Amino acid sequence: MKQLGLKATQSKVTLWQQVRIPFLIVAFSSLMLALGKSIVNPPASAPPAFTFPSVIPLPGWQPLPSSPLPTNPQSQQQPVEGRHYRYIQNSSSLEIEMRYLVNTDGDVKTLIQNYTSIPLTSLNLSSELRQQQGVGSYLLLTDQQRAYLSACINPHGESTVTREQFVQNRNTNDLQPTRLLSWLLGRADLRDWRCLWAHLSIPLSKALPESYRALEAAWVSWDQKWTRFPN
Amino acid sequence: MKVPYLPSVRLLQKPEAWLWAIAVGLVAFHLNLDWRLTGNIDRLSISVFLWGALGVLLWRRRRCTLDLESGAFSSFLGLTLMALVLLRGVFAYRPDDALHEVLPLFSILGFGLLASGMKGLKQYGQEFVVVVLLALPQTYLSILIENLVQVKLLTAKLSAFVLWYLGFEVSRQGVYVMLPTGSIEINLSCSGLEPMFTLLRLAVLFLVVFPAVRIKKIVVPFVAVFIAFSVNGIRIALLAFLVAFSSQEIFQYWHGGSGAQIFSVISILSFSWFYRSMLRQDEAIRT
Repeated sequence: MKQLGLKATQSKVTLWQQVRIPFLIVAFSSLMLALGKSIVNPPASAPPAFTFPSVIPLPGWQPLPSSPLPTNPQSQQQPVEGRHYRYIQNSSSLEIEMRYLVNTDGDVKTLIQNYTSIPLTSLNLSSELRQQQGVGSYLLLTDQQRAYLSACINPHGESTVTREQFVQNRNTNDLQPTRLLSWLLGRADLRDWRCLWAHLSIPLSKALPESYRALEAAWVSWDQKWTRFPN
Repeated sequence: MKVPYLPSVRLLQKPEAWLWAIAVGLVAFHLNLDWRLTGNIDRLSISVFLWGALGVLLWRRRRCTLDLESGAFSSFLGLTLMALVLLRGVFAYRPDDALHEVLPLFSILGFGLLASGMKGLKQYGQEFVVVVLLALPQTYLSILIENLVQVKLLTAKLSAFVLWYLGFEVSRQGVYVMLPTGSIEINLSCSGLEPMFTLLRLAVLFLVVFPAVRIKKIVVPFVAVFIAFSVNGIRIALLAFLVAFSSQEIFQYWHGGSGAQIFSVISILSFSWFYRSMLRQDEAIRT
Protein backbone atom coordinates (compact mmCIF):
# COMPACT_ATOMS: atom_id res chain seq x y z
CA MET A 1 0.00 0.00 0.00
CA LYS A 2 2.63 2.40 1.12
CA GLN A 3 4.75 1.66 -1.89
CA LEU A 4 1.82 2.24 -4.18
CA GLY A 5 1.11 5.61 -2.63
CA LEU A 6 4.71 6.60 -3.03
CA LYS A 7 4.64 5.57 -6.64
CA ALA A 8 1.52 7.58 -7.26
CA THR A 9 3.05 10.81 -5.92
CA GLN A 10 6.24 10.16 -7.83
CA SER A 11 4.41 9.81 -11.09
CA LYS A 12 2.39 12.93 -10.28
CA VAL A 13 5.56 14.92 -9.82
CA THR A 14 7.02 13.65 -13.04
CA LEU A 15 3.76 14.41 -14.79
CA TRP A 16 4.04 18.08 -13.80
CA GLN A 17 7.69 18.06 -14.71
CA GLN A 18 6.75 16.76 -18.10
CA VAL A 19 4.01 19.31 -18.49
CA ARG A 20 6.09 22.20 -17.19
CA ILE A 21 8.07 22.79 -20.38
CA PRO A 22 4.99 22.94 -22.65
CA PHE A 23 3.33 25.09 -20.01
CA LEU A 24 6.24 27.53 -20.09
CA ILE A 25 6.18 27.48 -23.88
CA VAL A 26 2.51 28.45 -23.83
CA ALA A 27 3.27 31.21 -21.33
CA PHE A 28 6.11 32.47 -23.50
CA SER A 29 4.02 32.42 -26.66
CA SER A 30 1.15 34.35 -25.10
CA LEU A 31 3.65 36.85 -23.74
CA MET A 32 5.05 37.32 -27.23
CA LEU A 33 1.53 37.84 -28.58
CA ALA A 34 0.83 40.48 -25.92
CA LEU A 35 4.18 42.14 -26.60
CA GLY A 36 3.47 42.20 -30.30
CA LYS A 37 0.06 43.72 -29.75
CA SER A 38 1.47 46.28 -27.36
CA ILE A 39 4.17 47.33 -29.84
CA VAL A 40 1.64 47.69 -32.64
CA ASN A 41 -0.72 49.71 -30.41
CA PRO A 42 -0.53 53.42 -31.07
CA PRO A 43 1.07 55.58 -28.37
CA ALA A 44 -1.20 56.86 -25.61
CA SER A 45 -3.68 58.94 -27.51
CA ALA A 46 -4.95 62.30 -26.44
CA PRO A 47 -8.48 62.17 -25.11
CA PRO A 48 -11.19 63.01 -27.66
CA ALA A 49 -11.24 66.68 -28.45
CA PHE A 50 -14.14 68.85 -27.53
CA THR A 51 -15.88 70.51 -30.45
CA PHE A 52 -17.19 73.85 -29.35
CA PRO A 53 -20.35 74.98 -31.13
CA SER A 54 -19.72 78.16 -33.07
CA VAL A 55 -22.95 79.83 -31.96
CA ILE A 56 -24.61 79.53 -28.60
CA PRO A 57 -27.80 81.54 -28.11
CA LEU A 58 -27.87 83.46 -24.88
CA PRO A 59 -31.20 84.99 -23.80
CA GLY A 60 -31.12 88.77 -23.85
CA TRP A 61 -27.80 88.91 -25.71
CA GLN A 62 -27.11 89.12 -29.41
CA PRO A 63 -24.27 86.81 -30.55
CA LEU A 64 -21.33 88.06 -32.62
CA PRO A 65 -19.09 85.62 -34.54
CA SER A 66 -17.01 83.46 -32.20
CA SER A 67 -13.42 82.42 -32.81
CA PRO A 68 -11.18 79.58 -31.58
CA LEU A 69 -8.70 80.48 -28.86
CA PRO A 70 -4.98 79.87 -29.41
CA THR A 71 -4.42 76.31 -28.14
CA ASN A 72 -1.10 76.98 -26.49
CA PRO A 73 -0.61 80.44 -25.02
CA GLN A 74 2.53 79.57 -23.06
CA SER A 75 4.37 76.54 -24.33
CA GLN A 76 4.83 75.26 -20.79
CA GLN A 77 1.12 74.52 -20.64
CA GLN A 78 -0.63 71.55 -22.20
CA PRO A 79 -2.39 72.50 -25.43
CA VAL A 80 -5.96 73.35 -24.59
CA GLU A 81 -8.97 73.65 -26.87
CA GLY A 82 -10.94 76.81 -26.42
CA ARG A 83 -13.35 79.24 -28.01
CA HIS A 84 -13.94 82.93 -27.65
CA TYR A 85 -17.62 83.93 -27.70
CA ARG A 86 -18.78 87.54 -28.04
CA TYR A 87 -22.20 89.06 -27.37
CA ILE A 88 -23.73 92.51 -27.38
CA GLN A 89 -26.72 94.00 -25.63
CA ASN A 90 -27.58 97.65 -26.32
CA SER A 91 -24.27 99.36 -25.69
CA SER A 92 -22.88 96.68 -23.43
CA SER A 93 -20.69 93.81 -24.60
CA LEU A 94 -19.97 90.41 -23.11
CA GLU A 95 -16.92 88.30 -23.84
CA ILE A 96 -16.72 84.64 -22.87
CA GLU A 97 -13.61 82.52 -23.11
CA MET A 98 -14.36 78.81 -22.83
CA ARG A 99 -11.59 76.25 -22.41
CA TYR A 100 -11.80 72.47 -22.22
CA LEU A 101 -9.29 71.15 -19.69
CA VAL A 102 -8.81 67.39 -19.53
CA ASN A 103 -6.53 66.98 -16.55
CA THR A 104 -6.82 69.82 -14.11
CA ASP A 105 -6.91 70.32 -10.37
CA GLY A 106 -9.77 72.75 -10.88
CA ASP A 107 -8.05 75.73 -9.28
CA VAL A 108 -9.54 78.64 -11.20
CA LYS A 109 -7.08 81.21 -9.80
CA THR A 110 -4.17 79.23 -11.21
CA LEU A 111 -5.98 78.95 -14.53
CA ILE A 112 -6.50 82.71 -14.65
CA GLN A 113 -2.80 83.24 -13.98
CA ASN A 114 -1.74 80.77 -16.64
CA TYR A 115 -4.12 81.70 -19.42
CA THR A 116 -4.99 85.37 -19.01
CA SER A 117 -3.05 88.57 -18.53
CA ILE A 118 -4.79 89.48 -15.26
CA PRO A 119 -2.00 90.20 -12.77
CA LEU A 120 -1.69 88.38 -9.47
CA THR A 121 -2.37 91.57 -7.52
CA SER A 122 -5.84 92.11 -9.02
CA LEU A 123 -6.55 88.44 -8.53
CA ASN A 124 -5.63 88.61 -4.90
CA LEU A 125 -7.14 92.00 -4.05
CA SER A 126 -10.44 92.13 -5.94
CA SER A 127 -11.56 88.54 -6.24
CA GLU A 128 -14.68 87.41 -4.46
CA LEU A 129 -16.04 83.87 -4.20
CA ARG A 130 -19.81 83.52 -4.47
CA GLN A 131 -22.20 80.62 -4.48
CA GLN A 132 -25.67 80.08 -5.90
CA GLN A 133 -28.04 77.19 -5.30
CA GLY A 134 -28.38 74.94 -8.34
CA VAL A 135 -25.51 76.57 -10.22
CA GLY A 136 -22.54 76.33 -7.91
CA SER A 137 -19.60 78.55 -7.08
CA TYR A 138 -18.00 81.25 -9.19
CA LEU A 139 -15.30 83.87 -8.80
CA LEU A 140 -15.89 87.56 -9.38
CA LEU A 141 -13.07 90.03 -9.90
CA THR A 142 -12.12 93.29 -11.57
CA ASP A 143 -9.04 94.37 -13.46
CA GLN A 144 -8.40 97.43 -15.61
CA GLN A 145 -11.98 98.60 -16.15
CA ARG A 146 -13.36 95.12 -16.73
CA ALA A 147 -15.43 92.90 -14.47
CA TYR A 148 -14.82 89.16 -14.70
CA LEU A 149 -16.67 86.02 -13.70
CA SER A 150 -14.70 82.79 -13.73
CA ALA A 151 -15.74 79.23 -12.88
CA CYS A 152 -15.14 75.60 -13.69
CA ILE A 153 -18.11 73.69 -15.15
CA ASN A 154 -17.80 70.12 -13.83
CA PRO A 155 -18.61 66.89 -15.67
CA HIS A 156 -20.70 65.88 -12.68
CA GLY A 157 -21.94 68.24 -9.99
CA GLU A 158 -22.22 72.00 -9.72
CA SER A 159 -19.61 74.47 -10.92
CA THR A 160 -16.53 75.04 -8.76
CA VAL A 161 -13.78 77.58 -8.19
CA THR A 162 -11.27 76.16 -5.73
CA ARG A 163 -9.29 72.98 -5.85
CA GLU A 164 -11.05 71.71 -2.72
CA GLN A 165 -14.51 72.17 -4.24
CA PHE A 166 -13.44 70.42 -7.43
CA VAL A 167 -11.92 67.46 -5.56
CA GLN A 168 -15.00 67.26 -3.36
CA ASN A 169 -17.18 66.98 -6.47
CA ARG A 170 -14.94 64.29 -7.91
CA ASN A 171 -15.07 62.19 -4.79
CA THR A 172 -18.82 62.47 -4.31
CA ASN A 173 -19.96 62.14 -7.94
CA ASP A 174 -17.38 60.22 -9.94
CA LEU A 175 -16.65 57.03 -8.04
CA GLN A 176 -18.93 54.60 -9.87
CA PRO A 177 -18.58 50.83 -10.50
CA THR A 178 -18.32 51.30 -14.27
CA ARG A 179 -15.47 53.72 -13.82
CA LEU A 180 -13.75 51.20 -11.54
CA LEU A 181 -13.73 48.60 -14.31
CA SER A 182 -12.30 50.91 -16.93
CA TRP A 183 -9.75 52.09 -14.36
CA LEU A 184 -8.64 48.50 -13.80
CA LEU A 185 -8.18 48.15 -17.55
CA GLY A 186 -6.24 51.40 -17.75
CA ARG A 187 -8.81 53.13 -19.91
CA ALA A 188 -10.00 55.83 -17.54
CA ASP A 189 -9.05 57.52 -14.33
CA LEU A 190 -11.04 56.75 -11.22
CA ARG A 191 -12.19 60.34 -11.17
CA ASP A 192 -13.09 62.54 -14.11
CA TRP A 193 -10.56 65.39 -13.95
CA ARG A 194 -12.11 67.44 -16.73
CA CYS A 195 -13.49 70.91 -16.55
CA LEU A 196 -15.00 73.43 -18.90
CA TRP A 197 -13.51 76.64 -17.68
CA ALA A 198 -15.73 79.66 -18.35
CA HIS A 199 -14.20 83.11 -18.16
CA LEU A 200 -16.81 85.86 -18.68
CA SER A 201 -16.11 89.57 -18.77
CA ILE A 202 -17.89 92.88 -19.38
CA PRO A 203 -16.53 96.42 -19.45
CA LEU A 204 -16.87 98.19 -16.14
CA SER A 205 -19.00 101.10 -17.26
CA LYS A 206 -21.56 101.12 -14.45
CA ALA A 207 -21.16 100.62 -10.74
CA LEU A 208 -19.39 97.48 -9.70
CA PRO A 209 -22.34 95.66 -8.05
CA GLU A 210 -24.42 96.32 -11.15
CA SER A 211 -21.76 94.86 -13.44
CA TYR A 212 -21.49 91.85 -11.19
CA ARG A 213 -25.27 91.40 -11.33
CA ALA A 214 -25.20 91.50 -15.13
CA LEU A 215 -22.41 88.92 -15.16
CA GLU A 216 -24.25 86.67 -12.73
CA ALA A 217 -27.41 86.80 -14.81
CA ALA A 218 -25.50 85.85 -17.96
CA TRP A 219 -23.65 83.14 -16.05
CA VAL A 220 -26.79 81.37 -14.84
CA SER A 221 -28.11 80.92 -18.38
CA TRP A 222 -24.63 80.21 -19.78
CA ASP A 223 -24.03 77.41 -17.26
CA GLN A 224 -27.19 75.62 -18.38
CA LYS A 225 -25.91 75.40 -21.96
CA TRP A 226 -22.95 73.21 -20.96
CA THR A 227 -24.35 70.03 -19.50
CA ARG A 228 -22.81 67.43 -21.79
CA PHE A 229 -19.18 66.38 -21.75
CA PRO A 230 -17.82 64.17 -24.56
CA ASN A 231 -17.15 60.55 -23.65
CA MET B 1 25.84 6.69 -37.52
CA LYS B 2 25.15 8.84 -34.54
CA VAL B 3 23.42 12.15 -35.03
CA PRO B 4 25.31 14.79 -33.03
CA TYR B 5 23.16 16.20 -30.25
CA LEU B 6 22.62 19.91 -30.73
CA PRO B 7 23.29 21.76 -27.49
CA SER B 8 20.60 24.34 -28.27
CA VAL B 9 17.95 21.64 -28.53
CA ARG B 10 18.97 20.19 -25.20
CA LEU B 11 18.82 23.69 -23.72
CA LEU B 12 15.22 24.07 -24.84
CA GLN B 13 14.28 20.99 -22.84
CA LYS B 14 15.23 22.76 -19.61
CA PRO B 15 12.83 25.13 -17.86
CA GLU B 16 15.68 27.61 -17.26
CA ALA B 17 15.90 28.53 -20.91
CA TRP B 18 12.19 29.24 -21.16
CA LEU B 19 12.16 31.14 -17.90
CA TRP B 20 14.94 33.44 -19.11
CA ALA B 21 13.08 33.91 -22.37
CA ILE B 22 9.91 34.84 -20.48
CA ALA B 23 11.89 37.22 -18.26
CA VAL B 24 13.38 39.02 -21.25
CA GLY B 25 9.96 39.22 -22.92
CA LEU B 26 8.42 40.61 -19.75
CA VAL B 27 11.06 43.34 -19.49
CA ALA B 28 10.55 44.24 -23.14
CA PHE B 29 6.81 44.40 -22.55
CA HIS B 30 7.12 46.71 -19.57
CA LEU B 31 9.62 49.02 -21.23
CA ASN B 32 7.43 49.24 -24.30
CA LEU B 33 4.39 49.95 -22.13
CA ASP B 34 6.24 52.65 -20.18
CA TRP B 35 7.37 54.30 -23.35
CA ARG B 36 4.02 54.03 -25.07
CA LEU B 37 2.01 55.40 -22.18
CA THR B 38 4.25 58.08 -20.67
CA GLY B 39 6.73 58.97 -23.41
CA ASN B 40 8.96 60.16 -20.59
CA ILE B 41 12.62 59.55 -21.40
CA ASP B 42 13.74 60.15 -17.78
CA ARG B 43 11.39 57.53 -16.44
CA LEU B 44 12.29 55.12 -19.22
CA SER B 45 16.02 55.41 -18.56
CA ILE B 46 15.65 54.79 -14.83
CA SER B 47 13.46 51.79 -15.65
CA VAL B 48 16.14 50.45 -17.98
CA PHE B 49 18.67 50.86 -15.16
CA LEU B 50 16.52 49.01 -12.66
CA TRP B 51 15.56 46.16 -15.00
CA GLY B 52 19.21 45.87 -15.90
CA ALA B 53 20.18 45.67 -12.24
CA LEU B 54 17.56 42.99 -11.69
CA GLY B 55 19.01 41.04 -14.59
CA VAL B 56 22.56 41.43 -13.28
CA LEU B 57 21.55 40.25 -9.81
CA LEU B 58 19.82 37.14 -11.15
CA TRP B 59 22.48 36.38 -13.74
CA ARG B 60 25.19 36.40 -11.08
CA ARG B 61 23.37 33.66 -9.21
CA ARG B 62 22.24 31.58 -12.17
CA ARG B 63 24.83 28.78 -11.76
CA CYS B 64 24.30 27.49 -8.28
CA THR B 65 22.07 29.43 -5.97
CA LEU B 66 18.82 29.81 -7.88
CA ASP B 67 16.14 27.28 -7.10
CA LEU B 68 13.93 27.04 -10.17
CA GLU B 69 11.39 24.44 -9.12
CA SER B 70 7.72 25.33 -9.15
CA GLY B 71 4.57 23.33 -8.59
CA ALA B 72 1.45 23.29 -10.71
CA PHE B 73 -0.56 25.55 -8.42
CA SER B 74 2.13 28.22 -8.11
CA SER B 75 2.74 28.12 -11.84
CA PHE B 76 -0.92 28.64 -12.66
CA LEU B 77 -1.22 31.42 -10.10
CA GLY B 78 1.90 33.07 -11.48
CA LEU B 79 0.68 32.80 -15.04
CA THR B 80 -2.69 34.27 -14.06
CA LEU B 81 -1.02 37.27 -12.42
CA MET B 82 1.16 37.82 -15.47
CA ALA B 83 -1.80 37.42 -17.79
CA LEU B 84 -3.76 40.07 -15.91
CA VAL B 85 -0.88 42.52 -16.21
CA LEU B 86 -0.43 41.73 -19.90
CA LEU B 87 -4.13 42.12 -20.52
CA ARG B 88 -4.19 45.50 -18.86
CA GLY B 89 -1.05 46.52 -20.69
CA VAL B 90 -2.59 45.69 -24.04
CA PHE B 91 -5.84 47.51 -23.31
CA ALA B 92 -4.51 50.53 -21.44
CA TYR B 93 -4.22 53.80 -23.25
CA ARG B 94 -4.14 56.26 -20.37
CA PRO B 95 -0.81 57.39 -19.05
CA ASP B 96 0.03 58.10 -15.43
CA ASP B 97 -2.15 56.31 -13.00
CA ALA B 98 -1.09 54.63 -9.79
CA LEU B 99 -1.96 51.17 -11.05
CA HIS B 100 0.28 51.57 -14.09
CA GLU B 101 3.20 52.50 -11.88
CA VAL B 102 2.88 49.46 -9.59
CA LEU B 103 2.23 47.03 -12.46
CA PRO B 104 5.78 45.57 -12.50
CA LEU B 105 5.24 44.43 -8.93
CA PHE B 106 2.45 42.09 -10.03
CA SER B 107 4.09 40.77 -13.16
CA ILE B 108 7.36 40.05 -11.37
CA LEU B 109 5.54 38.37 -8.53
CA GLY B 110 3.79 36.25 -11.14
CA PHE B 111 7.08 35.47 -12.79
CA GLY B 112 8.63 34.54 -9.44
CA LEU B 113 5.82 32.09 -8.80
CA LEU B 114 6.20 30.64 -12.26
CA ALA B 115 9.94 30.21 -11.80
CA SER B 116 10.37 29.18 -8.18
CA GLY B 117 6.96 28.64 -6.60
CA MET B 118 5.64 30.03 -3.34
CA LYS B 119 8.45 28.65 -1.23
CA GLY B 120 11.10 29.71 -3.67
CA LEU B 121 10.12 33.39 -3.40
CA LYS B 122 12.18 33.70 -0.22
CA GLN B 123 15.43 33.53 -2.14
CA TYR B 124 14.71 36.82 -3.91
CA GLY B 125 15.11 39.24 -0.97
CA GLN B 126 17.67 41.43 -2.68
CA GLU B 127 15.81 41.41 -5.97
CA PHE B 128 12.65 42.39 -4.13
CA VAL B 129 14.22 45.70 -3.11
CA VAL B 130 14.91 46.53 -6.76
CA VAL B 131 11.38 45.53 -7.74
CA VAL B 132 9.88 47.83 -5.12
CA LEU B 133 11.99 50.69 -6.51
CA LEU B 134 10.80 49.82 -9.98
CA ALA B 135 7.18 49.85 -8.91
CA LEU B 136 7.18 52.97 -6.75
CA PRO B 137 3.88 54.85 -7.32
CA GLN B 138 5.84 58.05 -7.78
CA THR B 139 3.05 60.39 -8.86
CA TYR B 140 0.99 59.67 -5.78
CA LEU B 141 3.92 59.53 -3.39
CA SER B 142 4.94 62.98 -4.63
CA ILE B 143 1.58 64.44 -3.65
CA LEU B 144 1.71 62.67 -0.29
CA ILE B 145 5.23 63.87 0.46
CA GLU B 146 4.41 67.40 -0.66
CA ASN B 147 1.54 67.45 1.83
CA LEU B 148 3.83 66.27 4.61
CA VAL B 149 6.98 68.35 4.14
CA GLN B 150 6.11 71.17 1.70
CA VAL B 151 9.02 70.57 -0.66
CA LYS B 152 7.78 73.40 -2.90
CA LEU B 153 8.28 75.91 -0.09
CA LEU B 154 11.73 74.56 0.77
CA THR B 155 12.74 74.77 -2.89
CA ALA B 156 11.48 78.36 -3.07
CA LYS B 157 13.49 79.23 0.04
CA LEU B 158 16.64 77.61 -1.31
CA SER B 159 16.46 79.31 -4.69
CA ALA B 160 15.66 82.68 -3.09
CA PHE B 161 18.68 82.19 -0.85
CA VAL B 162 20.91 81.34 -3.82
CA LEU B 163 19.75 84.49 -5.63
CA TRP B 164 20.20 86.62 -2.51
CA TYR B 165 23.69 85.23 -2.02
CA LEU B 166 24.57 86.19 -5.59
CA GLY B 167 23.49 89.75 -4.82
CA PHE B 168 20.11 89.92 -6.52
CA GLU B 169 17.27 91.98 -5.16
CA VAL B 170 15.09 88.98 -4.42
CA SER B 171 11.97 88.56 -2.32
CA ARG B 172 9.87 85.51 -1.63
CA GLN B 173 6.21 85.09 -0.80
CA GLY B 174 5.24 81.48 -0.15
CA VAL B 175 6.12 79.52 -3.27
CA TYR B 176 6.66 82.69 -5.33
CA VAL B 177 10.23 83.84 -5.92
CA MET B 178 10.24 87.43 -7.09
CA LEU B 179 12.86 89.59 -8.73
CA PRO B 180 12.08 93.23 -9.58
CA THR B 181 11.31 92.43 -13.23
CA GLY B 182 9.76 89.00 -13.02
CA SER B 183 8.66 86.23 -10.72
CA ILE B 184 8.16 82.48 -10.78
CA GLU B 185 5.88 80.12 -8.92
CA ILE B 186 7.22 76.75 -7.86
CA ASN B 187 4.65 74.06 -8.61
CA LEU B 188 4.78 70.35 -7.82
CA SER B 189 6.51 69.33 -11.04
CA CYS B 190 9.27 71.87 -10.39
CA SER B 191 9.69 71.13 -6.71
CA GLY B 192 12.48 68.66 -7.34
CA LEU B 193 10.59 65.62 -6.12
CA GLU B 194 11.06 63.90 -9.45
CA PRO B 195 14.86 64.21 -9.50
CA MET B 196 14.83 63.22 -5.83
CA PHE B 197 13.01 60.02 -6.66
CA THR B 198 15.34 59.36 -9.56
CA LEU B 199 18.46 59.78 -7.44
CA LEU B 200 16.97 57.79 -4.59
CA ARG B 201 16.32 54.92 -6.95
CA LEU B 202 19.82 55.22 -8.29
CA ALA B 203 21.18 55.22 -4.73
CA VAL B 204 19.43 52.03 -3.72
CA LEU B 205 20.42 50.49 -7.03
CA PHE B 206 24.09 51.27 -6.38
CA LEU B 207 23.80 49.90 -2.85
CA VAL B 208 22.40 46.62 -4.13
CA VAL B 209 24.77 46.15 -7.03
CA PHE B 210 27.94 47.60 -5.46
CA PRO B 211 27.53 46.97 -1.71
CA ALA B 212 28.97 49.48 0.75
CA VAL B 213 29.84 49.38 4.43
CA ARG B 214 26.75 49.16 6.62
CA ILE B 215 26.78 52.63 8.24
CA LYS B 216 27.21 54.25 4.86
CA LYS B 217 24.19 52.39 3.56
CA ILE B 218 22.04 54.63 5.74
CA VAL B 219 23.81 57.82 4.69
CA VAL B 220 23.77 57.21 0.93
CA PRO B 221 20.00 57.73 0.33
CA PHE B 222 20.10 61.00 2.28
CA VAL B 223 23.05 62.22 0.22
CA ALA B 224 21.14 61.32 -2.95
CA VAL B 225 18.08 63.30 -1.89
CA PHE B 226 20.24 66.22 -0.76
CA ILE B 227 22.11 66.38 -4.08
CA ALA B 228 18.87 66.24 -6.08
CA PHE B 229 17.29 68.95 -3.92
CA SER B 230 20.28 71.30 -4.13
CA VAL B 231 20.79 70.93 -7.86
CA ASN B 232 17.09 71.57 -8.42
CA GLY B 233 17.20 74.61 -6.13
CA ILE B 234 20.00 76.05 -8.24
CA ARG B 235 18.02 75.28 -11.41
CA ILE B 236 15.01 77.14 -10.01
CA ALA B 237 17.21 80.12 -9.13
CA LEU B 238 18.47 80.14 -12.72
CA LEU B 239 14.86 79.99 -13.97
CA ALA B 240 13.87 82.96 -11.82
CA PHE B 241 16.88 84.85 -13.16
CA LEU B 242 15.88 84.00 -16.74
CA VAL B 243 12.28 85.11 -16.23
CA ALA B 244 13.48 88.42 -14.88
CA PHE B 245 16.34 89.15 -17.25
CA SER B 246 16.00 87.02 -20.37
CA SER B 247 13.64 85.87 -23.11
CA GLN B 248 10.78 83.38 -22.99
CA GLU B 249 12.57 81.01 -25.38
CA ILE B 250 15.66 80.69 -23.21
CA PHE B 251 13.41 80.15 -20.21
CA GLN B 252 11.61 77.34 -22.04
CA TYR B 253 14.91 75.71 -22.92
CA TRP B 254 15.94 75.54 -19.26
CA HIS B 255 12.45 74.85 -17.93
CA GLY B 256 11.30 71.90 -19.96
CA GLY B 257 13.75 71.50 -22.82
CA SER B 258 17.23 70.09 -23.09
CA GLY B 259 18.46 72.55 -20.47
CA ALA B 260 16.39 70.78 -17.82
CA GLN B 261 18.02 67.49 -18.83
CA ILE B 262 21.46 69.00 -18.29
CA PHE B 263 20.60 69.53 -14.65
CA SER B 264 19.43 65.95 -14.17
CA VAL B 265 22.66 64.76 -15.78
CA ILE B 266 24.61 67.01 -13.39
CA SER B 267 22.89 65.56 -10.35
CA ILE B 268 23.30 61.96 -11.54
CA LEU B 269 26.98 62.52 -12.31
CA SER B 270 27.70 64.19 -8.98
CA PHE B 271 25.97 61.41 -7.09
CA SER B 272 27.85 58.75 -9.05
CA TRP B 273 31.09 60.57 -8.34
CA PHE B 274 30.23 60.65 -4.62
CA TYR B 275 29.43 56.94 -4.57
CA ARG B 276 32.58 55.99 -6.41
CA SER B 277 34.85 57.97 -4.12
CA MET B 278 33.07 56.45 -1.14
CA LEU B 279 33.70 52.94 -2.43
CA ARG B 280 37.36 53.79 -3.03
CA GLN B 281 37.65 54.97 0.53
CA ASP B 282 36.18 51.65 1.68
CA GLU B 283 38.72 49.74 -0.37
CA ALA B 284 41.55 51.84 0.99
CA ILE B 285 40.46 51.01 4.54
CA ARG B 286 40.14 47.31 3.77
CA THR B 287 43.59 46.95 2.22
